Amino acid sequence: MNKNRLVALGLILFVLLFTFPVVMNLGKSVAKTQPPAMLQDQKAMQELADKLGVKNIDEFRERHKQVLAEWKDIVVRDGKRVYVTKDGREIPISLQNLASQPQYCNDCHDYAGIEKPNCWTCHVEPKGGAGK
Amino acid sequence: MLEHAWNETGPRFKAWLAALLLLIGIGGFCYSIQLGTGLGVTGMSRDVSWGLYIGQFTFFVGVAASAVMVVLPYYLHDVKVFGRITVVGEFLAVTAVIMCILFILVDLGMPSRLLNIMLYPSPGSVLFWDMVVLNGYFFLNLLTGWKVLEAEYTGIKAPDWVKPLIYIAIPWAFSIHTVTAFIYSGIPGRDFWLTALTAPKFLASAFATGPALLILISLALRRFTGFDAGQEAVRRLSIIVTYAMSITVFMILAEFFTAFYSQVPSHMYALKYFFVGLYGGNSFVLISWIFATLCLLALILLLNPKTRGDETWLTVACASTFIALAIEKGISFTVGGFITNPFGRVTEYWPTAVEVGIVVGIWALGAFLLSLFYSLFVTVKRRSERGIA
Amino acid sequence: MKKPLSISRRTLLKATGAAALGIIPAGTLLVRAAGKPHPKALQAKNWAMVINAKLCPPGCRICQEACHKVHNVPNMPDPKQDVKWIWPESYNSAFPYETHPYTDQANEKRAYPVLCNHCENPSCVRVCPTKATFQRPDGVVMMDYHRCIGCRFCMAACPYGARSFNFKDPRPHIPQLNPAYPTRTPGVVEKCNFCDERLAVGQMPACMEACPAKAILFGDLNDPASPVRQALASNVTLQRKTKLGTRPKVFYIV
Ligand code: SF4
Repeated sequence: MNKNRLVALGLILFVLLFTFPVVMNLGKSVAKTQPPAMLQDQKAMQELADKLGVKNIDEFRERHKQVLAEWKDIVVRDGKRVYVTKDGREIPISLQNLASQPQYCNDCHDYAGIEKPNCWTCHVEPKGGAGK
Repeated sequence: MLEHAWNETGPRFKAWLAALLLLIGIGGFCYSIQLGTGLGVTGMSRDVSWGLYIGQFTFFVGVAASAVMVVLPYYLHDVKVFGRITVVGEFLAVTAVIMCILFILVDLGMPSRLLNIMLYPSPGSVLFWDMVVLNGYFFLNLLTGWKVLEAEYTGIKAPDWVKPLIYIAIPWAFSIHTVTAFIYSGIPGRDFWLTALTAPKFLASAFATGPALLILISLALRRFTGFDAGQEAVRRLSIIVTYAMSITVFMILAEFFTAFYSQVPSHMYALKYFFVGLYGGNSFVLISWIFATLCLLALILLLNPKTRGDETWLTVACASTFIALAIEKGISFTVGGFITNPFGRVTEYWPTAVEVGIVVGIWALGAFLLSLFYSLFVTVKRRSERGIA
Repeated sequence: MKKPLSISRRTLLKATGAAALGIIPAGTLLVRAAGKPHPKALQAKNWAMVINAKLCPPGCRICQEACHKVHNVPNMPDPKQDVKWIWPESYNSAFPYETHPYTDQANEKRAYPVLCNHCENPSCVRVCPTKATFQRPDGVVMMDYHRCIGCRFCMAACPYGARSFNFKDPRPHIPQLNPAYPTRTPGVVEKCNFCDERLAVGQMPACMEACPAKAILFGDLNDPASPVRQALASNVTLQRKTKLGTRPKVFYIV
């Protein structure tokens, strides 16, 4: 009985220790109930999806993190600057261009209750940005 | 069995644990400072890019590997007298590996990305393999140590699969320190490290350090808990320390010969830097002479059978051995590779208060875990010897 | 046509490795999406550089200033923890084993620009535990700042002192921010990238373009007609520390 409890405790500690990077990055803020106005702007949202090379804003939401990681690999590891989408479109890879209005990123992350993107601690934030 | 162990500890033991907890806290606080500002709070630099952390890591890999010096004679050569302390050695190994992993963690500039080592496995990198063998060694020792102790507690023979694991752990012990040595000895342009002698020297000095520490631990256990490892076990260990320490010192002297007889400048730089200073850099001169003096003292006391057989002198000899090799492998060896820098200049390194605080915290954590392990071990021994299961 | 095959094989190998370790992170199993070079990209089989140090006057730092400006390289207050991509050293420091006390005075005073040699057999790449530093097929030794864990094994392994670590946040110490290039996060290693970001869009390296003396040549080492090969064919040149077997690709006319 007692032993089982100790084993369980040990296991939890072990898991925490080895996943602490993941745990550390878990969301820290609570979701807001009011969606930001820009999410209602269909045209702006479609533009954003186009710049990332995905179908629509839903796919943007699902996959933008993964596409951004792909962009990084294509640029840094393959030395290429153009992203070819699944349906054959060619998109110039540019974080500056994609996030010409970085407050979109922050507002949406805020709304979803996720930490603000940390892109701008290294990549220089485009003008008109909402700051960190 | 854990709960029994805890109930049998006295107030002195609890005070000792509390003191260690305080030191762990201080270490944690220092680490939070480092996390906040970056490794700039350490004494490391562009030119000396590894320091105390990696040195300590190297040293404790040696301590971990040295458990094999009690396990191997007991299981392969049937040296019965070590029977009472193989578990002590295995727990020492487990603790040392935990400390190693922490030393690596605090040395990383991006600790949150630690898992990248496993996400992007790079078999060409020695550090990748070090990670693999260290983790393997940790689990091997934890499992075998625990099962053997549990068997003693319950009076039921340990399951059959424990034996093969113990045998695997023996060559594995050599592998962890060899791979750690290869981190250094496979790098072009760092002539102090770039010698085939690095791995054998690491093993020899580890086999002096570990058994010396085990002797000190055994004497402490007898004093504070009444558990006696047995005079014969201590005597045998002291012989291992004597041989290993002699071989270590021999290898160090051989390095001096190669460097100074060949007169190749890049082989002499680090040795000159340690003992007389180089280009105005002399922060290691004092501790290098302390190291040399302690080596000499240890050798004299160990080689003379009279002093080696005397418990007080043996304690002095073992402490000297441990401290001397903690200086050499725990900091000097790592820094020596960076003397001189690639442009032929000397950049000095000395750890900062934050760095020392973190290292003290990890040592305290090691002592804390070890104390818990050993209190458990002593209780189990006592009970099984009194015939209560 | 060979490319997709090699990518999928690499991905497969990676997946097997991860599976063998008992962890299958979703991201690593996906095949990398396709990319295409910029229409103006400069391509070569093996990029290399020749520096005619005879043309480098004492005290000159023009190439360093140009490079550090485009790449947002900071001026860290503590020189021991400074970040540098290209900078001048004396002959004696750049070639520490090739000196004697009687070298000609003019040579000793010259500023030898030193930088990452983009070695053909790079020890830094060999030791990296995450492949955060790697060698591209065109010979450029690159850094992936998103992957680097900051273990600094590469700094110990580079025999040329070409690598710098971000001991503190570099942002406040960058005199003039270039928005077209990122800065680095504290805790990662960085170094010269042979201006990969400029080659990719059709520009030659910044140091070469900035040099008023035209002391820096850049081109394809595998192409006998390249300016680099021609300079090597008609001058006495040195590489730094050849005995180490790293095969540097920065050559010096002395
Ligand atoms: S000069 Fe140093 S950093 Fe550059 S490729 Fe060679 S070993 Fe790597």
